[in-house]
Amino acid sequence: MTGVPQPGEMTLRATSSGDTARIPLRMTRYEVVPYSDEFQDTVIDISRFLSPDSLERRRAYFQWKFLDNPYVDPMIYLAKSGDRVVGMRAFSGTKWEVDGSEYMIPCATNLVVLPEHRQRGIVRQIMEVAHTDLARRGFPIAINLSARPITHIASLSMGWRGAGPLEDVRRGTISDPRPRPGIGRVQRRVQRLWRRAIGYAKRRVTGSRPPFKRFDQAVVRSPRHGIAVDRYPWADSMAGLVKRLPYDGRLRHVRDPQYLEWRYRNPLSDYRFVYRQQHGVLEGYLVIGTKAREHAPEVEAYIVDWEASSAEVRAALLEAVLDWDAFEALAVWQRCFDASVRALLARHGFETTETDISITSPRRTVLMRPLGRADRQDAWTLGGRSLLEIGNWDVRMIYSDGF
Amino acid sequence: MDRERVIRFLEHELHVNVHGGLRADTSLIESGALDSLGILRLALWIENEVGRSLDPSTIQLPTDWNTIDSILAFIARTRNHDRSAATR
Repeated sequence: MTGVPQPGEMTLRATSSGDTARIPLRMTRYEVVPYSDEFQDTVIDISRFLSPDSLERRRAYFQWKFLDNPYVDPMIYLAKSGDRVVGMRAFSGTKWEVDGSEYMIPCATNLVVLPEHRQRGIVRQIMEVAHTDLARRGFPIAINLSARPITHIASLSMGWRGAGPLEDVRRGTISDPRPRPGIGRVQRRVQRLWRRAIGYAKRRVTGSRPPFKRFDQAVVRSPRHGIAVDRYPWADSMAGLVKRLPYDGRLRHVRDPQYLEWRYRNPLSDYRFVYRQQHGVLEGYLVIGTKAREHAPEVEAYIVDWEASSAEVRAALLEAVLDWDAFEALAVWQRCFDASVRALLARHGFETTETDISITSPRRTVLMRPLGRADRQDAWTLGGRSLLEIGNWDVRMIYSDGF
Repeated sequence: MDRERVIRFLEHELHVNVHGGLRADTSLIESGALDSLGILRLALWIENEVGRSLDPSTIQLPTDWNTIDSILAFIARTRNHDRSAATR
C-alpha cells in the first residue's frame, strides 16, 4: 500500500507554514499493509502487548472477533519494518441502525506498537492508510468505543471527535483499572503490584471470589419469582423484545439474533443473563458482564445491556441483581437511558465516576471520524442525525469491545 | 508565557527536532513531529501551565495545538476564561 520501509526523513509538508524544510527528523517510514491469512499467527503473537492472556485465549479471541465476525472480513492494518510486523491497528465490523436505515461501521479496536518502534510516528502512518482504505471500501464513518487515554488524545489529533459523555455510573468501589500513562514505568509497576496486593488482601479478608461464583450461589440460594438467570443469551427472544419495544430512531447497534449469538461468545468475557418473563413472553432482560481473566479474578461487573417493556419490569430486574449482592462494584453507561431510568439508578446508589476529568482520564464517549471529506457539511451526520450530539446515540456497553 | 519556553519544552523534554529548528508556525501535529506519546505529554504540560485538568473533548487538537503560536493562544485563552469565570 505504501512504499518500501525507509528509515529516516519523511517528506511531509509543514502544513501551516507551507515550509517543506520543517519536517520531523526522527520519523521512520513503515510499510503499511492490509491483513491477510499469512499474518494470522503474527497478529495473535503481538496481541500479547494488549493482554496478559495465554496464546490459546488470544487465538480464541482473534477467531471470535475477526474471523467469526458476522459482518466483514478482518479489517486490520499492519506496519512492517522490513519483513517484520511491528505494529497494527484493527477495526471490527459493526452494524448500526438509525431511523430505520442500517449502516456497516468499522469500530476501532486493538492498537499495538512494539516497544522499540514507539515514538516514531507509526500510529499516524497506520491510521492514514486505514482511513483511506476504509473510505475506499465505502464505510461512512469509523468509531471507537473503547479508547484509552493515549489513543483518545492521539485520535483527536488525527481529526477524530467525541460525541459527548456516555455517563459512566457505578455502585460500589473498585480500584481504577485504567493505566496512568503520564507516570513512569517503575511507578506503574509499583502501582500494579500494589493493586494486586490490595486485591489479594481483600479476597483473603472478605472471602470474595470471582463475581459470578458468588452471583450463581446467590441465585440458587434466593430465587426470585418470575426471574430466570442463564449463562447464555436467549437470542431470538431478546431480539424479539428489542423489535417489539418502541424505537426513537437514535443510532444504535442492530440487535438481531445473529448479532446477539455472536457478541456474547466473546471468550475474554463472562456474562449472566437475567430474564423476566410473563405468560411465556420475554418482558425484559438485564445482562451482566465481567472480564474472564485467567490470572486476576475481577470483582467489578457491568450492566452491558438492559431492556424492559415497562418501568416495573426494569426495576424488578435491577433489584433482583442488587439483592443478590454479588459484586463489589457494578457499573453502567446511563446516557442512553431516559430520565426515569437514571433516577432509578440514582435511587439504588449509582453515582457518576466522571468527577475528575482530565487528559489522562477522559470521559467515556463515542469517538468518530468521517471517512470521506471531513469538511463536507454532512460529513458529521448519518441518516440525517448529527453524530456529534450524544443525544442522538443509544450506546450500550455491549457495543464496545471493552466488555 | 513566551515562545522560547514552549520551544525549550518541545526540544528538551519531547525531543522534537525538525530541519531548520522550531518556529512559531512549525506544524507539530499534522506533520507528525509529535507522536501519540508526545501529544499526551504536551497535554499534561499544558494542563500544568493552565493550572487545572482539561477535558479533551473540548479541545480541537489539530488546530488548537498544531503550532507553537496556537499553543500559546490556547493557554492564554484558557487562562482568560478561567479568570473571568472566577470573577463572575
